[in-house]
Amino acid sequence: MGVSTSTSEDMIKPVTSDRDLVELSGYSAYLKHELRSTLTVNGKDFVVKDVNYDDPTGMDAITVQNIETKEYTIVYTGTGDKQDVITDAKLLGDIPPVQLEHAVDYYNEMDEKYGISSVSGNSLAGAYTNTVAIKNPDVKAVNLNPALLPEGMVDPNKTYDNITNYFSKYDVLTKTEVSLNLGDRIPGKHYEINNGVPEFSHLPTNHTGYKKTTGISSGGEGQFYTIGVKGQPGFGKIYMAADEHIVTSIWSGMPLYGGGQTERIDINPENLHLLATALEDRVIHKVSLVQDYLGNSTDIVEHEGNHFTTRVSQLQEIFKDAFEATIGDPLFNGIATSGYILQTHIDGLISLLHVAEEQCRFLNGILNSPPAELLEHIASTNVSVESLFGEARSYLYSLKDKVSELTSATGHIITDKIPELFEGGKELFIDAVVGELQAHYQIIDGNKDKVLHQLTEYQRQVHDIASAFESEDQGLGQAIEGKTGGIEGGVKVQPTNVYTIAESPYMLERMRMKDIHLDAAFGAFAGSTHGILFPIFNGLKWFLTIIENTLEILSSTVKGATKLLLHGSLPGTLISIFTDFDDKVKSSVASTLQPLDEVAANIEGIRKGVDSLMIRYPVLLTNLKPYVDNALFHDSGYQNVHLYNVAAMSIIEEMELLFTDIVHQLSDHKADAVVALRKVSESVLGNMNLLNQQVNRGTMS
Amino acid sequence: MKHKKKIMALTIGISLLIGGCGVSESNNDQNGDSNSAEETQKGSTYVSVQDYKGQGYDLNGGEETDKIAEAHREEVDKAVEEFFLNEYKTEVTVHNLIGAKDGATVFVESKGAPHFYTYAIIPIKNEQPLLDGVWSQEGQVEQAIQTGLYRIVNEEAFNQLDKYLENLVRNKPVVGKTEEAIENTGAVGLMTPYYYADVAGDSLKHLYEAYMDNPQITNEELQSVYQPDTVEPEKIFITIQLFMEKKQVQPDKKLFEEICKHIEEAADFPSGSYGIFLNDNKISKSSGKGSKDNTLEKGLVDPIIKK
Repeated sequence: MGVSTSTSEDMIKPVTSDRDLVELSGYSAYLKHELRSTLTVNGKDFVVKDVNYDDPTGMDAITVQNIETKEYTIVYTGTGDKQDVITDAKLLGDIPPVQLEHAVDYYNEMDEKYGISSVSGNSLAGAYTNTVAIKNPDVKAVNLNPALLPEGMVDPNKTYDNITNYFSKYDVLTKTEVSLNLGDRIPGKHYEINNGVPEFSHLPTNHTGYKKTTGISSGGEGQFYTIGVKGQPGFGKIYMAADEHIVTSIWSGMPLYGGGQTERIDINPENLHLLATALEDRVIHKVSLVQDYLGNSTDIVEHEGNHFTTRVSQLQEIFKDAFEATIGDPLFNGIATSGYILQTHIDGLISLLHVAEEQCRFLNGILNSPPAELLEHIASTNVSVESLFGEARSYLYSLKDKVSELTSATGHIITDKIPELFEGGKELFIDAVVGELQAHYQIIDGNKDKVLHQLTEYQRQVHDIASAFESEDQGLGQAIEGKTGGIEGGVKVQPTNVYTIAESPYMLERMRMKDIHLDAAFGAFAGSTHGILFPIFNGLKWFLTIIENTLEILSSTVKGATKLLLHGSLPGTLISIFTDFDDKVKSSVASTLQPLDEVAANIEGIRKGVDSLMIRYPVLLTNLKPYVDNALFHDSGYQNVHLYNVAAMSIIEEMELLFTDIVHQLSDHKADAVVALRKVSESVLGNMNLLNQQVNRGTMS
Repeated sequence: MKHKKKIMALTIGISLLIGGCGVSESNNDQNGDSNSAEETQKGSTYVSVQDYKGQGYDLNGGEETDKIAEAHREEVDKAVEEFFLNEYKTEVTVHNLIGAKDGATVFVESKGAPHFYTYAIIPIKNEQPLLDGVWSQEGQVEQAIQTGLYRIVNEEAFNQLDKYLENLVRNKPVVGKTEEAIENTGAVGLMTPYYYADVAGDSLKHLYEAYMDNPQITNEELQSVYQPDTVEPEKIFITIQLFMEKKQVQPDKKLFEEICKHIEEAADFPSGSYGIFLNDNKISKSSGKGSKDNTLEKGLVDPIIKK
């Protein structure tokens, strides 16, 4: 931990830069600063010259002076922090004009006293700043995600060159403003910067540009979002401080946005040394972050790959459970694996049928032996149901077969069709989504190393050439002055190697690939399982219906036996008076019907189970889909891969911006060494561009 | 701390003197100002400096975090003390927690030498303080330690300054801040009831490094590594801050000029850039600041530089 952390930028220019202003306004107040106390931003020291903390409208502001350059800056903080960002977004244009007036009054007061060179604000305070800067074209205004000005304040015909607004790529407030076509109520230049991540939970800090829970430089590792879960692959950080994402020229410190070319610098040893230092501090350091981000992505992908079997078996388990739960009858428990419970149950029904049959025989026995008193009135009779019992029994056996068929069909789905959900992709991977990502990362992995190597070599070259220029200059000077005989042996310069970025045929659909695969694979799964299951369902239903009908006939025939007695030639009362014959018949009929009813009730239960399976199978599939999605690649892991890639891409894009300026600055120079450097920097730029495209494939959009 | 006793005696004395007399002239405080009653008054923005102990001090977005931090006071204190021990090899006492956006600002005072006041931040997430996430703002603690070290190597000069200011409040109708106000809301570095000191730049970095290498370093050893020639007086900000003793009076111009003149002429004070503020008797509760439109001020634009 140093007293100050200086970067190459600070060494070049102690002037208060856009980056400092953004950090000052987005990250100022953990404290109500004392007058003449100091604060440090990006290694630069500021002293507090005025504070405005007790404004009745809540328009808080402080005035600070850059100790080195003596520039004065007003940092408006406002009440933005006290409210939710979402509230700010709702407020849009409703900033009470009185607050804006107070902001202007404060500016006037301070400007008169000190002469203000810049003003800065975030969110609501950005509106204060812009109000001030509209009225004072000489003051430089720098804002991060400012709120809109009330209607009519911005003159659409003016360009307001003194105002720069940085919009975080994932900021909701400014996104809303721009999408509502209200962007012209933010005066001046609009530049999008790549800080933040596209995740809902980070919405507020994407807006403020800083996360107030972590520190900058001192006592901490800086501003970052934590990604993933501690102890799990891909756990890491994405650095997000807004000012870190403002790309400025290596030489002038001017922001490199808007396509404008920066003013030409002289290519002399000093400027080349600046370039070498900046390459080290600002490029190689950042590209190592890209390495970290992509490394974390790779870890996540690898982890998913290693857990392929687990993911498949979990999905199988889920399908099995969902299938049985859909039937909702405990009889069907285990139907997808053995069907044992149901089979045993049907065996039980078959034995019940035996019981009924026995009872029926007994009934026939009674019917055939009426008491002597009644013999002359009642002819021997018989309930003839033997064939019906035989039929029912054979249908029950067929039902058992159908159940086995169902079990083996679901078994087939589980063991064969579920794994098929994972198959596909460019090279028919068995684990399509993971496979494609893995193949892609293998290529990226080599490419990012190449870019880093190339950068490191390039940095050395710049350094060597700067030293060579220097010593040659000195040597020549001394030679001219006659102190030495001539220039001594040359300085060694790092030779240029060729680094070619490998193409990747993978991930052409970007991270949407997973959705596309899911839809296709799932569609196929739904179709094929439907084709497998429904004929069996129909078969089951057919047998169940037939069994129910047979049982119906059986029981009505048995019931017929009592009717025979009651509606026969003899009045039933007579029988009752002389004998207990009819009681015997009635009780025997009841004993026959009871097991039959039980079988019928059970069959109905089974039929309902099958019915509900048929009706709810599409629902089952719908419910299953998210699980399949998650099994293809763990949802949050996939999201994190996307986030890391977005973060990596952000940095590469920023480096491209920087290198475009480097190439521009090195162009049109006659010195062969500079021409050679330009060529290398062009090659670096080209390679970064290709890498960017590849990393982009690891994102959703 | 003989210093502390004096202040307390003084504060009590003044309270007795003023108690019950006069009606406030401040528009913001129309219900009179019989000392402690002010604390309970709703809506009064200002309070007499003799009564101000840091009550009502708040920070942006701290309404919720304030309560959470306070509810976990013991663990937070411990975590912060450990943070200072680990990162800055210095034992501190925690005086106050003030909720801020997503965290709480923790005001601390170092135990023993070097003596300084500073602050750290403890993040608060999901209604829990993150005990292993304590951090300090860029350069703040380093600078606070440097002011403490600066006082050690300029012991005699600082004693002279202290003596002058103590005499001043004894003999003139001015007072300083209460010890509690400093403990609870002060965080600048070297602080007394009458002034505070803060540094910028790297000119005292060598002292800081020597201390970090060996926190047990003796005053003599520190003295021997001290390079007074590297010190840039314009980057050592010594700010004298005084208040009128009586509640209803305006800052005394004559007295102010006298003080300025004395500071300007004193040859035995520590080198640095001096600023002087003479406020009326009131202090803003929420910001802990005494400066207002009527404050007499020297040093924001043209400080007194003592080489």
